[in-house]
Amino acid sequence: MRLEEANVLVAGVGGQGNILASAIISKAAIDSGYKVIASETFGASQRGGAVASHVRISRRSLSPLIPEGKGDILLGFEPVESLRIGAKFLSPEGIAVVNTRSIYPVDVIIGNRAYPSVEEILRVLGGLSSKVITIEATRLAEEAGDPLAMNVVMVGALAGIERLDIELAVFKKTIEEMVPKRTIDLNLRAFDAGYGDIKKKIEREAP
Amino acid sequence: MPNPFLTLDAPGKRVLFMGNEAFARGALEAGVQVASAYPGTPSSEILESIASVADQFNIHAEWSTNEKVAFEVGVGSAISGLRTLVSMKHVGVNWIADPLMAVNQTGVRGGLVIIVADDPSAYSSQNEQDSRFYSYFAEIPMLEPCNPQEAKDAVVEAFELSEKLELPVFVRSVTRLSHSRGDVSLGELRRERNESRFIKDPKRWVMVATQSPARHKWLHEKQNQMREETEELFLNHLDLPRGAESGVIALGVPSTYVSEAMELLNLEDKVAFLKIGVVNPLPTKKIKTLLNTVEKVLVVEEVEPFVEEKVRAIAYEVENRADIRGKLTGDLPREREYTPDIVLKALAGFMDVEYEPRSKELRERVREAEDIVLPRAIAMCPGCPHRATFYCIKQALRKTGEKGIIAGDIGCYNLGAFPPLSMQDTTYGMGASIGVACGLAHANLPERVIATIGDSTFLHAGIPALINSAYNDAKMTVVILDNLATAMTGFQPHPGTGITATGKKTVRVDTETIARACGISSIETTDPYDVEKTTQTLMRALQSKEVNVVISKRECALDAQRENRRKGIAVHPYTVVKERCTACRLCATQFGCPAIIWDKDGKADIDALLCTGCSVCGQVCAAGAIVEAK
Ligand SMILES: Cc1ncc(C[n+]2csc(CCOP(=O)(O)OP(=O)(O)O)c2C)c(N)n1
Ligand code: SF4
Ligand code: SF4
Repeated sequence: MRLEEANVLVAGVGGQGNILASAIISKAAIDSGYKVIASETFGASQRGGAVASHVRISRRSLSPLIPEGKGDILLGFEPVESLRIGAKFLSPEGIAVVNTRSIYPVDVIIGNRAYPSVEEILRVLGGLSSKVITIEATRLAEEAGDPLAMNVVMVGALAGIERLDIELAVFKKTIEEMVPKRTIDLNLRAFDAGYGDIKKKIEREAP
Repeated sequence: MPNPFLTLDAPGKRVLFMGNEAFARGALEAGVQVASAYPGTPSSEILESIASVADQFNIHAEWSTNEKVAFEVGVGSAISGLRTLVSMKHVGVNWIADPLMAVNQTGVRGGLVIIVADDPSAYSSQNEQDSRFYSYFAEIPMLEPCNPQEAKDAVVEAFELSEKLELPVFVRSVTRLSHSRGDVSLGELRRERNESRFIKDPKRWVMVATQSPARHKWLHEKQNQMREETEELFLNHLDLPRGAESGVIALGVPSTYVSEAMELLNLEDKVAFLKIGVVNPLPTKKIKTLLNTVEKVLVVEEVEPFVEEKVRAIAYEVENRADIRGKLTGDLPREREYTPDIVLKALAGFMDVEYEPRSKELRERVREAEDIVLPRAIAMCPGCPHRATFYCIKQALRKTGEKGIIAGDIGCYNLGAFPPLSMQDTTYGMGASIGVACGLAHANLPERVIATIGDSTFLHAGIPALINSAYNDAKMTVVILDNLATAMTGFQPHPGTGITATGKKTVRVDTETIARACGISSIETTDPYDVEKTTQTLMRALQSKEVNVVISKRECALDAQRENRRKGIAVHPYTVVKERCTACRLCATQFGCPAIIWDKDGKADIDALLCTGCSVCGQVCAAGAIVEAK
């Protein structure tokens, strides 16, 4: 089912490439005839802090932040960040796609806190949304040629769940336009890997 | 990579712009000829965007040494008739206040637009500050757009206004606008360029004693024209549904939350809505109309109750006494950035309606989630040279038996304030480390006083304070953490890098030479990746009886990494030899590189994806367990 109006959240850690992912989604939506407004919570220029992009796709002008509980889709780049943002913004009808690779906060590194188990995170997130799909996006990106292309794997995953009214070809054209020239092939491979992985999972689930 | 849409000549086409790119596009559409700035989040991308197309559009674009200089550069070009844009973050306006309070009275000839980006919630700043006060202080116009489209259009309008009124014009942004991205419909690119000519007129341009009250009068005479030119601007809009008994006044980004909240609460035909986009002068007629129509008004604005207080004053001039609510009445919070939910809650309370987006059961699950989620403190990057410098300062203090007080400054190194380093004892504003350290040094404290300051910050505001330390004999150590970039704000070049805003080679100003010229005789330069040598250097400095400077020099790790990726140079990550690791955790508790993680046995591990191969943890580890991976 494709949404006519969609609130997309991209949750990650500074340096994971949220902004590029959300910019690709935004531009692809504009090129599909929609109005878009997007911005980040927790500030975008922070080193290693939590970053969440709010991307709002609509036929009209909206505000740059999603009201709590009104998120339709969550792209989680990191488990704890997925839960942080999912709990606050995801609607109970919403869907989450989560990269299972953790990035430890300083508190965990210096031994003050323990990182929760990923299973626990996914279980709780499941209770807050209609569906959670996991993906080893960092590994898929590594296989595509660069672990940093994880963000584009996740954009591929977004295309794979087929909730947005954006054609596959528009996503690909947007990626070609927005990434540095010498990394186009790499990023398209990353996109395809994410798209393929999610499609496979969804098909397997289908009765 | 410059955004190709910045220069696209296709009026009406809808494209994706970041708020700051929209500001830049507005300036390009207005035919800007000179642009100057000093970096500062969230404003930096305005000049970066213009600089990326400066050659193509024959624009002089520069990173100046600080905001005051950037503004003065702008004054020089605007009084020569050129269209000029100066941009800065909120605290930058504090630096331009001195020249601003004279330029408002001489006025300008070419349009002079100052974009100031406030940072509600201080996401990337030392304070929250409402820069709107400066437009009243200087008695000049200020526009406040609410989305990227208005951001572009407001700049075009600001240039027109500035030339019509012959006054500098402010455009206020906030982080949420500057860093949001949205669709913008392009306008026409102005083809004609202002002629450059300096008309000598000492009665106007020379703000000397006794002559200036005449110019102050000129400014006051402009005020009426200012009101006439702005009341009906597209940025102000009053929506008065028939029979509305309540009203909302909102400005900037929060006005978009109000629109949406009205819809979610089904209040659209019950509540009057005045959206204000001109902060100075306020659209007094519209405000009076609203106050005369409704029983109560909620004022929604970020940071200070600035408009709320003005509306209270205007209310004395109308017959109907509407109840004015907002921050002063506790309906809205006084600090931090607003969100849709803050506004929803305030509006629901104001209108006495219910709003609860989640069921009770769901709220409990949210609470369960919040219990699991860990905080994620911001930290310096893996391989950051600043972390190594702080580690060496810590070692040097320990080995000399000195206790230290570290006066900090603004930049990535300020993250040294957080655990596990916890090595910044004060932070105020740019350059304050050295000035405050001078005061600490003269306070006869038992501790050794250390100032830590970055290279860009040193050039911005550290130099006069360093001269002061030598001149007034403040016994202290100044550590200049030179990472060859303005890293915190996005790696902009500065005079110490020898590269200009448009990427051209220029003179390279040498920090050591400057320090010497400031009167410092003891200066040593060291590489923080060499822990032993840097610690020894710092020990000598800390034990010295005079003011001295240590320059800890090593390129920013993130910048170096990006450069290496571009050139295809591979990194050689470090790894832990498990048999040697004693699980002492010193590398975490004393140093804390985020690439160091823990295995099941409590022994160190290194995340090869995050490690930059800087080698410092290997020098920190007493067991010799951390080595370069084969
Ligand atoms: C008056 C003022 N202008 C700009 C800023 C924004 N700002 C924060 S840190 C910084 C400079 C950082 O450069 P540097 O001192 O070289 O330290 P680095 O981040 O590279 O470690 C700037 C410009 C500010 N806080 N105050
Ligand atoms: S950007 Fe550079 S200076 Fe700043 S924390 Fe990262 S490595 Fe250090
Ligand atoms: S070598 Fe050590 S300190 Fe340097 S980045 Fe790698 S893990 Fe961090």
